[in-house]
Amino acid sequence: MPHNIIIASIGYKRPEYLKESLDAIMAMDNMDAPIRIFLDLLPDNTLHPEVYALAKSYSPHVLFPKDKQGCNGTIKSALAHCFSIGADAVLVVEDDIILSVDALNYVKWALTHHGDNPSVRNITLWESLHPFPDQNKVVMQKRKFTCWGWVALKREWSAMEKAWTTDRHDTHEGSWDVVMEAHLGGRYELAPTVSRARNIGEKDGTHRGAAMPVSQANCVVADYYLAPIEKPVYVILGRFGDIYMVCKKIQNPSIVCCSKRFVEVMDLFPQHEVVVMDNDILDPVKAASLCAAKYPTHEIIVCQLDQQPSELCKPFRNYQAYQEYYASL
Amino acid sequence: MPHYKKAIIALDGHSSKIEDTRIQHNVEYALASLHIPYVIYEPHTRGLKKLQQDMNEEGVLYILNDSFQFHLCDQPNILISRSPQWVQSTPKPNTIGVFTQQMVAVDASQMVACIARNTPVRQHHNLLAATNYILTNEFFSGDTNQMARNGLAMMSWNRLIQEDMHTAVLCHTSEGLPFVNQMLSEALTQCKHPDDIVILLNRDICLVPQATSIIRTYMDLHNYSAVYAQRVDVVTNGLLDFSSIADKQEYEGVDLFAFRPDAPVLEEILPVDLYLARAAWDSFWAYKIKNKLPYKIAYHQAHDSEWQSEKGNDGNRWNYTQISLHRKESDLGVEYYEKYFKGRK
Repeated sequence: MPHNIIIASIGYKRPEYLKESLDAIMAMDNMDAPIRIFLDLLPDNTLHPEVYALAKSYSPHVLFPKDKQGCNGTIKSALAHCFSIGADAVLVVEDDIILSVDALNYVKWALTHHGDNPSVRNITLWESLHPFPDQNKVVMQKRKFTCWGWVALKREWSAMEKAWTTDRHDTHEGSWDVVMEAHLGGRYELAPTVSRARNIGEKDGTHRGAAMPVSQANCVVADYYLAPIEKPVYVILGRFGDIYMVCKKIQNPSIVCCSKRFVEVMDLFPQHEVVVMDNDILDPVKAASLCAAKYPTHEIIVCQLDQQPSELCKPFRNYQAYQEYYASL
Repeated sequence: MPHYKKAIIALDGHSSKIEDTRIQHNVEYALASLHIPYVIYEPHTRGLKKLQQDMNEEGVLYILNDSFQFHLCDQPNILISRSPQWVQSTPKPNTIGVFTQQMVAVDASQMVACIARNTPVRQHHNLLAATNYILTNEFFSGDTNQMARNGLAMMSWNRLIQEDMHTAVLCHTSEGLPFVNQMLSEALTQCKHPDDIVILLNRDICLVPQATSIIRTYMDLHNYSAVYAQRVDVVTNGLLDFSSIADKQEYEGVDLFAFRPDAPVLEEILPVDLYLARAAWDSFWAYKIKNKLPYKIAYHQAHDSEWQSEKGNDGNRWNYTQISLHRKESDLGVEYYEKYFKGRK
């Protein structure tokens, strides 16, 4: 089924990056998507002249606001505009994102096979881990939001627009992508195992400086397949009672990480796999990082910390009880 | 009366083993008085599946400490928790009784009553911790004895908070004597959780460290939304424990009131302006609340009372007048102190 995809290229004041990014877009296989270039103004409410001239050389459709909007506002305006002129999906490419040659093919495949999948909130093109070295064509569902080359879906735009950040000062906490990740609603992004994008923006970025270039792999379209959703990993470094109460509430077979000293409780839950931590690992965050290394593509849920899901944990309401647990281990 | 074929008492465990023999004796006494045969569960090394199986026999009542067996048990049970840190252990729908170890150590009658009643205890609103607010009227006194009593009380609350981190002190300040109903009304606005408890005290009332846990547990046990307690008078310059005041005589006045924010009795007491530190307000409140905490958790250094002197007359008269105006026909009257009326017309 054909999709009306519009590519939204976002520029500001880095012409050298924007050029490389636009060149990569134009070089994509089967490049038949219209492109709109959205520029933000400098603090004095003028356009960066070099950036504007460059943008005009790639597309007649260069859009910019009357007043400076900041990164958050620019991307929101870009999406709103593209959906208002009939896009089903908008491929958002910031000026420091370089797409792979087969990126658009991947996007089209993803929209065809998962554009109507209600558990998928958006499609991303970037992936750092390359978790399945022998399976370059695998596509994963991840409970994340990744902004380095991503596709917004029209069916999701209304909810996204409502949740969009109101931060006008470009802080990290108020960054649009951080806010988007906070409003996942329990759903997933579709991500390739081999990245279809890389970030070259090592200098002068708005929210983050460091870039993480990764290798690209050109795959044949329609050969992708969706990996099953991985079992989540629950890290529970409490005692018997804590492990028991959490496991009792986990609905689906999962992976449970607990201390060696209390692993006996898992005899009562044969449906779950167990990862045993040494007794001297008392810090759930450390345990979680070890689990993340062991299960790079799995969702890691740390129990008994401030961010624990309250519906799952806290068999004892009193946090002092937890402190006692840890103190006496 | 419930028909349990037997009871299993399991008070062992790694972290919360109960070694106070008075507790087991009182549990046995309660069961024997209701003619329920019982066994003491012996620890074993045959695994948790065996433990889970043993904790789920049909028709059996379980008396458990807050150890792993409590989590495993889905049959009717009574929980004896460590206090105060463990008092907010979430009761299960099948929990018919909750006690702290101190409560069972000094008394078996409440356990007899809860087994006979055989209904689930109050369930917590959610899994988030609730707060106990100690509410008092803060004032400066130039009197050395008064300052010492107030200081000792504050020290006792501080020790309590060190053990029960979910307790906070709310100090009310006013010019002149405050109205107790207004104090309480202001404090209730601090409650953010339906399971919060506001505990109103006179400024010089000391609490034993287990006080808040016993109040909360007792209110959960009976599903009470308000209780009151009487103090004991002591001669001491130091902080005392639950066991050290257990055998003291209670003073006739009422010095501690505990409310949940949704207590129906608030509708009756909040509209009545009554002066703190003057006659009868405590009797009026206690009469309305009706549920007395049967444990001694508050103590106080005895001293002459201002309300019994001439200085208290106006305030006393005000309180009596207000109580009379708000009396209902169904009320039997408000208690008074014989000492106060002795020799007066």
